[in-house]
Amino acid sequence: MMDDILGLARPKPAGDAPRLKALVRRRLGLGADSTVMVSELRCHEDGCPDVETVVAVLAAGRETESWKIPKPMARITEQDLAALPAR
Amino acid sequence: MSEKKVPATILTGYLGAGKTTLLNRILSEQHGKKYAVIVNEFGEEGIDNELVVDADEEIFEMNNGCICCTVRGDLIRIISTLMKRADDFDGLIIETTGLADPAPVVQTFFVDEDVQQKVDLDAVVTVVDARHFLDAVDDAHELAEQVAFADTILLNKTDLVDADTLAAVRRRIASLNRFAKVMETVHSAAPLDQVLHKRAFDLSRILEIEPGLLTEEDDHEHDANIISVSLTTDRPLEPQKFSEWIRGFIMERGVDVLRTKGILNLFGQDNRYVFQGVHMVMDSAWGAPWAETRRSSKLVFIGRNLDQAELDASFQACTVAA
Repeated sequence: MMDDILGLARPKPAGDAPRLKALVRRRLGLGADSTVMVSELRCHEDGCPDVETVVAVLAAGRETESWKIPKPMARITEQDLAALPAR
Repeated sequence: MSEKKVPATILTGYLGAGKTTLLNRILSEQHGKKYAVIVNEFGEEGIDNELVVDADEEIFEMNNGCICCTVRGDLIRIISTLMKRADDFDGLIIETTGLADPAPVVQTFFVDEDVQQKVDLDAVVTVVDARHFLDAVDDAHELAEQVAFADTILLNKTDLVDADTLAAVRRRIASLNRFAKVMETVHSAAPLDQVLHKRAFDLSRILEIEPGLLTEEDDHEHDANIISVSLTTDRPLEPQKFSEWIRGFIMERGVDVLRTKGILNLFGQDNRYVFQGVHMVMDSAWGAPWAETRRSSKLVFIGRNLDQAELDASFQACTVAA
């Protein structure tokens, strides 16, 4: 398919979300009552990574915690999650 | 596991407009479809169905240098749970509170990757109380935003107003959102096939669902804080110029721009380029080839404090001949 020459397309990290969510769950030791949200944000500004990934943990009655990882979802490995508090 | 995507309808409307009446009709009419419903604690009447109660509007903000968007954490959690039994229903309806800002609800469907894989945002449906709209709209920014975000508007309780009032309400709605389909109803009795499964957020149907898009300039009152702006040009757009302008504009004014839609004739390209946005969250795709059809770029903004002349000048400056 043709490229997104205007840079307006939403990042579509097909297939990487479940893998990353599983990594986050393992790292944080999350149970079934927590939901992990992962999303890529694109930026064209100087000084910003072109694509960064937001990881958020949502659970009823608890404040949402989130972290940013300055790379696309597909390139995130377990080592990149070191900043998340292990449980 | 099924690969089908579940269509989700966002149902908004100010307190007492008739949202729950519509919801109960959707749930009780014999149409052979089964809907999961997410409601909120401000429901005026009971809903007789399987439902998930959404107790809190948990707003979660994501931002970087380019984008700031708020999503509803509670919705992500509930939808993630519901999707484990997606084969059990044909659609999802999210009823917001009468005082809810629709933006975080809409943006939730653009942000979480799993939600995107499993759910298609179908349309924003707003129920408007014809009797109280004109009295309330200037003081209740939520009401104006609910109308501005809508793809479909049920102008309800029309039996309670005279013809002049009804016409005034329609004019005021049009001043906020010229592109939504407006249906006049009593007891929220709209044909459900014109309310559900409209695919209003499907990029390939942006023009199909708005046949009146950009066809005329009318002289609606422009004193409204929120207005609709439409821009068009027959000259091809220079991709780099347009890209820089639109991204800069959305980054700077995205808080005020509620919805954006466009179909573009880009210089050197055989296919239409279609895009849409909710505040700063955008998405785009290549559409059908122009082939022998007359090429024309069309751009629509619905937002606060927009200057039609200024926007048009900036838009026209992006054409190759400019």
